[in-house]
Amino acid sequence: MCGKPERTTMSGLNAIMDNSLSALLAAQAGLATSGHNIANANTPGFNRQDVIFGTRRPEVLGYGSIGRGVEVMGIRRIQDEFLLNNMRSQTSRLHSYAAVDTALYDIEGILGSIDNDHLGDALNNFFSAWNDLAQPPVNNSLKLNVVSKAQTLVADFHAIEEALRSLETDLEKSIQAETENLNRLLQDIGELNRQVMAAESNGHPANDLRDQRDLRISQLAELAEISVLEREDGSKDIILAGRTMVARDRVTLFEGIYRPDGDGYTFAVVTEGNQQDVNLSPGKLEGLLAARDVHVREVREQLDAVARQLISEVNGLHTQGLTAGGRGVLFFTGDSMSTIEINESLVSNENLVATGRTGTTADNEIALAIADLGRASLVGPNRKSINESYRSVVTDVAGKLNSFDFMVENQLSVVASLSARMASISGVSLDEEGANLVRFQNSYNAAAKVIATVQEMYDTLLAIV
Amino acid sequence: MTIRITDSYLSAIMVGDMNRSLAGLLEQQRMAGSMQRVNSYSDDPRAVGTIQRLNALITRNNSYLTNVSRSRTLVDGTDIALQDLSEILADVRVIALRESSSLANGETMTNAANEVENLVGRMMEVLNTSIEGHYIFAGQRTEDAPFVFKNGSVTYVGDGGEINGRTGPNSTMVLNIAGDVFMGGQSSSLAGGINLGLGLRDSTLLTDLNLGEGWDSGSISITTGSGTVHQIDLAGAVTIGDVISRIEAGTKGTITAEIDPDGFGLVINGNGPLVVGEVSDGTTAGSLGINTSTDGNTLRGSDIRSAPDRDTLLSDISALEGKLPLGALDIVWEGSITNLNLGTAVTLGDVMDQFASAMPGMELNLLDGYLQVVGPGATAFTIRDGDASGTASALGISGEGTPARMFGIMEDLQAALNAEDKDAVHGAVSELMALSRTMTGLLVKNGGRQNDLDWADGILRQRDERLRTNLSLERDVDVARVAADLSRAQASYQASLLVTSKIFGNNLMQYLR
Repeated sequence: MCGKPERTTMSGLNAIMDNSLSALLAAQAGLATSGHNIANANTPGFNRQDVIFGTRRPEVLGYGSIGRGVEVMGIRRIQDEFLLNNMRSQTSRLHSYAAVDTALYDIEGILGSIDNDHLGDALNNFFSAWNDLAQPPVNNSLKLNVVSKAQTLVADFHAIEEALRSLETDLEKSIQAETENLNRLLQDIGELNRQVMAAESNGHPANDLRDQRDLRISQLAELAEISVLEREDGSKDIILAGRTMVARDRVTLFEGIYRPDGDGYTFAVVTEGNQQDVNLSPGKLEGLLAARDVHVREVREQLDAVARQLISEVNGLHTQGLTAGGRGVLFFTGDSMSTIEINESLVSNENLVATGRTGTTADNEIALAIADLGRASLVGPNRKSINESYRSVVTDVAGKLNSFDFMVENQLSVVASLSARMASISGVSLDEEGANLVRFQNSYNAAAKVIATVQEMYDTLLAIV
Repeated sequence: MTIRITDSYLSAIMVGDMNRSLAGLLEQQRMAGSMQRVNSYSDDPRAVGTIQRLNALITRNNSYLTNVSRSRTLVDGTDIALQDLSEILADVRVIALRESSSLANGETMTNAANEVENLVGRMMEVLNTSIEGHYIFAGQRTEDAPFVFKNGSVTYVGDGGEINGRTGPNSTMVLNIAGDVFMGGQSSSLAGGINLGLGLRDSTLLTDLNLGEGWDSGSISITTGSGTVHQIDLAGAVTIGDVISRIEAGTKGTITAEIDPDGFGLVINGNGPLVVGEVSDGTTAGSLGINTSTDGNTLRGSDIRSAPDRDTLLSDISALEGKLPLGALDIVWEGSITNLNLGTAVTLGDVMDQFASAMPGMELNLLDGYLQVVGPGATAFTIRDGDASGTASALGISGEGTPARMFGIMEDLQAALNAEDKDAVHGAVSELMALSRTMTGLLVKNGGRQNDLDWADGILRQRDERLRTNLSLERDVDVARVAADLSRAQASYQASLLVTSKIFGNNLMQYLR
């Protein structure tokens, strides 16, 4: 129902002026937010912000209510929390796979390549040297060649053992460094929780602080898969490996320690203080530990087994031989890749290399049998030959590396897809912000025009007086 | 779902695409650079095992090829030494035959004794042949010379050990001949004395003559008593019948030719004295056994019979004419007598098989047209006729098989020559012949090893080629495909760079001025 219009008064013009002023302020807030978005277009972890506008409560008059302008209700971060959590979880897996993949790549490099198969070539050359020695007329100078090839083989075993040990040390250093990194991130998150709680005590979200905290949490997720719980006070609790590591601003840290293990030490990640073992969830740290404790160890054990088989089978035959110096001596000593050595007496006197059972110059039965070890095991047709045992190690590593390459590549695609979706939702579009700039500028201009019009009205009224 | 396109979204998508293009380009460049499909183990784990196995097989196969090559050194060295020994034995036999003839006298026999002594010295040198410092006839004791003078006699100080060579994944072969075989340490043998060559017929192929050595094609000349010289071109003749026809046609019937009644050779009839000779340094007449002359009207050629083999019918052997069917023979060995009846034998192979089944461990071999009986060990044996058929004599194997005693014969011969005992000198001839047969047997055995090594070499080379082909199929790239893929990857990368530069070059800010 329409009522009778009120008279125009000075107070009515003031209300219009007030409306326009709110519009000017809102447009300024919009321009400022767009400017903030443009300024942080390339800031890691930044989520674009949006001004929430609302109409001010209208003035109710006899004939109805007149609007009183616009007000800025708040500024929000545009973010999809579900997508973010999913992204963190997938990132954890990616870094777990990548850590193992890198270690396997290093192991592959240690073993060699198709054209430079260190230990494989050394094994082939060793058995070829025995074959050459066995071939009549038996040439004693070729005994020196057998000893030389055996020395090369032993040196290759040692070099691989040393390289694997060095890789283990590197992995331990990485674990140590990443543990420190993890602790630093936990501390940062605790501190940011404190700042967010303080900043949001007035009821307004601390968008930029939240962005910084989410960035730290995402970086933390690279190291280990985590769960995040947000409290009403704005703080976020971090749960890692079943333990609450961050609760508001209280933080529990990890540490890396060396524990006695047999003759040596094992590096372990435990909680700081009470030193409780941690069963790490997928992430770079867990990947590094798995690379060291599972993959490197497995290769070492497999190569130890190859060395043991070589030592056992060659010695078994060589000690059946007879030389001018008597019964054949042990050809190799030791029982693993690190301890295998050629018998020193053979190095100082190659004539102790036995070629046959009778000790006569041309008896080559033992040499032929040892030359055959490269292709057939002594124990029977179902057992692998020494070369086959070694090939299994290489094939196993190659298979694992290939699988992890594949998993890393797949996981990269998943993370890239999620990252693109996050960029689509939370990223800054310069086109969009440019359009917003024009829109808010026009709003500002229009509001200013209204003020200018009211000014003219004031002037008209004052001229009458 | 509508995607909100932001700068970071564009950046993520474009950089991801560029990285994928670049990774693809890198992979293709790596393959093109190495020409290998598999460079790292992880490139194709399935193929790695196969590639490593093929590489190991190739290395091992090369070792076997080296083995074969080195084995050839030993076997070829043995072959040369055995041929030298055969020649020396032939020289000794010639001396024995010469000095047992009526032309020999005290002076020639003394000189001959010296010749034999020199030949024994040469024999020692040959039997002590070494290759790369290893004595090839020493068994497994190859570091010391196996034949030494001890108490005035030659003694063997090697052993009977075999030297085995590996010539393939599952094949080893004996490469040496231990010197005790020359001293009777391994077997006793009886050399057959009857040439079992096939009697000539008109249809006998010229390539089968001379115990399989064949003939030399060409022309011959025949000079008659009247001084007429006939030059006859025999090139193109295939059989003995062709030769006879051409001789008669070439002399317009003034000279006739025929096979002698024993079937051993040719007989030329004409106006004597007859002289058959070669034309232009040829060897045709010699290979036909008629390079000779006669004062009479009939020229009888030498024995040019063809060699028998296992399939030869006994009825085709001229030496057995009138002696078939065969009867029984007795084999006396280690105190027992075995009576073997060969009445059912039709071929020489039947004779050899029936002998082998009656006397396990003994061998009846056919060497250059003669039979040879070899018994195991150094125990002597005797073969004699087992009934009135005279079978052992007909086959030429009646007698005692004794251990070979190479230097023993030499000593006996020297003693006989010094004693000017012609009968004793003549007595050594048959034993020398037996030794020659032993040498021939060893040469055949060693020749078989040479053939085996040739065969192994061929197989290993084929295997090497096959393995390398398989390796290439498993490891190497398809060049055409890689070239195409590389071009495509380059184009893809360039396109992604171009698109990225275009997209990032435009935004609204450029137009808000």
